[in-house]
Amino acid sequence: MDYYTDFLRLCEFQPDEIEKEKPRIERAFEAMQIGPADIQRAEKRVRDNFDIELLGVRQILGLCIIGLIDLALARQEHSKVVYKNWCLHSQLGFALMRSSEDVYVGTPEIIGTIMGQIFDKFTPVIEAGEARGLSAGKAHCAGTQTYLGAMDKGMVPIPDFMINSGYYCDQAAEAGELKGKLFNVPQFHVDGVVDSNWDAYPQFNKRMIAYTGGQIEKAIKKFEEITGYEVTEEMKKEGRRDNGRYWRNLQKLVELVAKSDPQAISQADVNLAFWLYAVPIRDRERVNGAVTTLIGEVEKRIEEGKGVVKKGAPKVYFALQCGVDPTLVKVVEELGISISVCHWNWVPPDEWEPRTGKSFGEKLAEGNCARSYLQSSFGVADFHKKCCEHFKVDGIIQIYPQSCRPWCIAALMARKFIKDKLDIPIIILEGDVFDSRSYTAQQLRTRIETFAQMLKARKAIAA
Amino acid sequence: MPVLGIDVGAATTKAVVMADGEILSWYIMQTGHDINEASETVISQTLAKTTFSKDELDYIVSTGYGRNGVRFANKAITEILCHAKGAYWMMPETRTIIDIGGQDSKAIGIDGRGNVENFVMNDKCAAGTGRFLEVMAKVLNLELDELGPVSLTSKAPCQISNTCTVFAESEVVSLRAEGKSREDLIAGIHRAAARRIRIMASAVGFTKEVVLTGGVAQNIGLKQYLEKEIGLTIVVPPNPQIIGALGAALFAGAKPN
Repeated sequence: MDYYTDFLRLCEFQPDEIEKEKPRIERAFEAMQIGPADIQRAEKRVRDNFDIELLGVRQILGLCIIGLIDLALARQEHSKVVYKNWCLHSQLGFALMRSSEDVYVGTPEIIGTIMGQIFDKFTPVIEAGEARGLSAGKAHCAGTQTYLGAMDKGMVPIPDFMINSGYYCDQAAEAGELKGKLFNVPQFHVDGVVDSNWDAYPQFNKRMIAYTGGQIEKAIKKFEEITGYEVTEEMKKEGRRDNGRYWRNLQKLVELVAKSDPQAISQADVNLAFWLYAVPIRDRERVNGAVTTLIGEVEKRIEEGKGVVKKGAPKVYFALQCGVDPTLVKVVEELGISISVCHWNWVPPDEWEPRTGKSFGEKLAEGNCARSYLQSSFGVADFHKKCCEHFKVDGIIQIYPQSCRPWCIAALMARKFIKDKLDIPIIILEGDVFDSRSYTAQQLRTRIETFAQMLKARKAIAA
Repeated sequence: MPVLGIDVGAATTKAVVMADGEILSWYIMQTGHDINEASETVISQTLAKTTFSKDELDYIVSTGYGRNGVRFANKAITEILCHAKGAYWMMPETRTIIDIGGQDSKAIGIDGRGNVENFVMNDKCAAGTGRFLEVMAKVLNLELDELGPVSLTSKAPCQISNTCTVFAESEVVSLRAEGKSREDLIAGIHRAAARRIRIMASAVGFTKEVVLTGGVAQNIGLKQYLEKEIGLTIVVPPNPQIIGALGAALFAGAKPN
C-alpha cells in the first residue's frame, strides 16, 4: 500500500479511484512537496479537527485534495493556465472554465486553505512570498504572499494569464504587478472601487457598477485573446448559476448549524464547506452533492439532539475565520462557546436581491456593491449587527487580521458600533486569514476562556 | 472548611488559604522550571502557617499560566477572572484593575458586582512587565525594590525610545556611558513602562477606582508615573502579588461547577 492510501481513503477516495489516479497523485504530491511525514501529519490533523464520522465532511476533504492535485498538474494537463485571485467572484472562474476543457482556471490561494487546514504545511509558502518581495511585518496581505510564494516554490505552475482584484484592498494591484514582473505573466487588474462613505451603504454609486462591470468584461476579452477560446453569454449565465446553486446550498447548511442547539457540527467543518467555493472543481454537481450530504447528516444530528457544544451554551458570531488553521474555532467550541456562524459563510437575505446589471460584469460588480462588508467600515459594522440580530447571539469574537489593513480599522470601528447598538460583549483576538504564525490557539486560550465565563455570567444574570 | 487558591505565574507561584471568608495564610515563591514542584512547595509552605493539612482542604482552584499543570486542583480558572474576583473582594469600589506581573500585564474592567466586562492582555512583549524592570535593575546595579524610591529622586527623567526590553537595555547602557545619572535613567525607564501600560490598558478604559496588582505594584515609582499617565489616583491593596491567588481561593470557596 502506498504511503498516501489510508489518508486518501479517509478523504473518501475510493480504492479504484486511487489506483487509477496514482500517477497524478504522485506527480501532484511531488510538486506540492508532500511526503510521507506530511501525510502522517495531515491524517492526524484531519482526525483531530474535522468530523470524519460524517460522510459529507470526508467528501469535502476529498474535493479539496482533488482541487490541489488539479492545480499542481494544471500545466501538464492543459495548454493554457489562468489564475484569478480569490477576491474575484467564483462565478467568473466558473464561466471562464466553461470556455474549454483545455483551459485550467484556478485560484492559487486554495493552496493556503488546503495546505494549511489539512497539511499544516503552509508557513513555508508565506515565507517564500515574503522573500520574493512582500516582506514580513509590513502589513502585506497574506493572501498575496500565498499566491506569490506558491508560484515561487513551484507548487503551482506559472500561468499564462492572471486576473487580479482586491475589493477595498489597496495591495492587490501592486501585488499583481509584482507577480506579473517576477514571472513574466500578463495580468489584468479589475479595480473594485467599492470604497464608500461611512453611512452610504446600502446605497452605492451606480457608476461603480458600470466601471467595474466594464473592467470585468475587459478581463474576459483579454482571457479570450490569450487562450484563444470564447466565453459565450450562455457560459457566463451557467457560471452564475453554478455559483448561485453552491451558495444557496451552503446557506442551508449555515442556517441549520446556526440555529441548532446543541450546535450540531463544528464550524471547522462548515468552514471547510465554505472554502470549497474557491476550489475550482469542474464537476459542480459533485461539489453540491457533498454539501447536500452534509446537510442531511446535520439534520439527522439535530433530530437526535447531538452536538459538539453543550446545549444552552452561549452563542457567538465569529468574525473572520482563518482559512489555514481550524484549531482556533475548535478551541472556542471546546471552551464551551457555541459558534452560530462565521463571518463569510452567511449571506443576509437583503443581499440576495436579483442583479439588474446590463452585462455579466455589471451583475458581478453589483454583487460586490450589495455585500455590506465590502463597502466600508460601516458596511462591516452593519453586517456584524445583521448577523447578531438574525442569529440572536450573545457576543462576538472578532479576529483582528494582522495582514489586512482595511479590516483592522473596520474591526475596531465595528466593536464600538456594536457596543453602542446592541450592547453585547465583543472580544478582539489577534489572528489572520492566511497567516497563522502570529498566534496559536493555545496562546489565545486564556482570553477565550475568560470570554466564555463572561458570556455565561451574563446569560445567567439575564435568565 | 478551608479552601486554597494557587496562582502559578511565569515568574512566581502564590497560594492563599481561606476559611469562612477569611484569609488564614499565604505564601509566594519563584516558580522555577517545575510547576508541580513549585505547586507542592507553595501549598505546604502556605499550610504550614495554619493548622490544616492538604487532605483537609475542601476545594482547590488554580490560576495563572500554569493553572492546567496543577495536578491536585479541582478546577482551573483564568487569571483574569481571579484577579477581578480578588481585587473586588479587597475593595468593592474597584472598577479597573491593572495587573503587572513578572512576564505579562493585563487590564480588566469590572462592573459594580465584580463581573468582568472587558479585558486586555499583553503576553507577547516583556516591555512594561516585571521582567523589564528586572533587566534594568541589573544593568544599573540596583536591587529591584530600590528602583521605585530612586526613580522619585530624579529631576529630569531620560527619554527611553526603544520599546523592546532588549534594545532598551542597550539604550540605557549607552546613556549611562554618556554620563546620565542613575535616578534619571530609572525615572525614564519607569515613565516608558507606565506609558506602555497606559496604551495597553486604554483598550479597557480607566474608571475609578483603579487598582494596581501584581508584584510590580509594590514599585512606588511606577505607581506614580502610571498615575500621571492616566490622570487618576491608583490604589495598591495590601500584598498586591497575591490578588490572583486570593481570587482563586474565593472561587474555591464558592465551589464552581
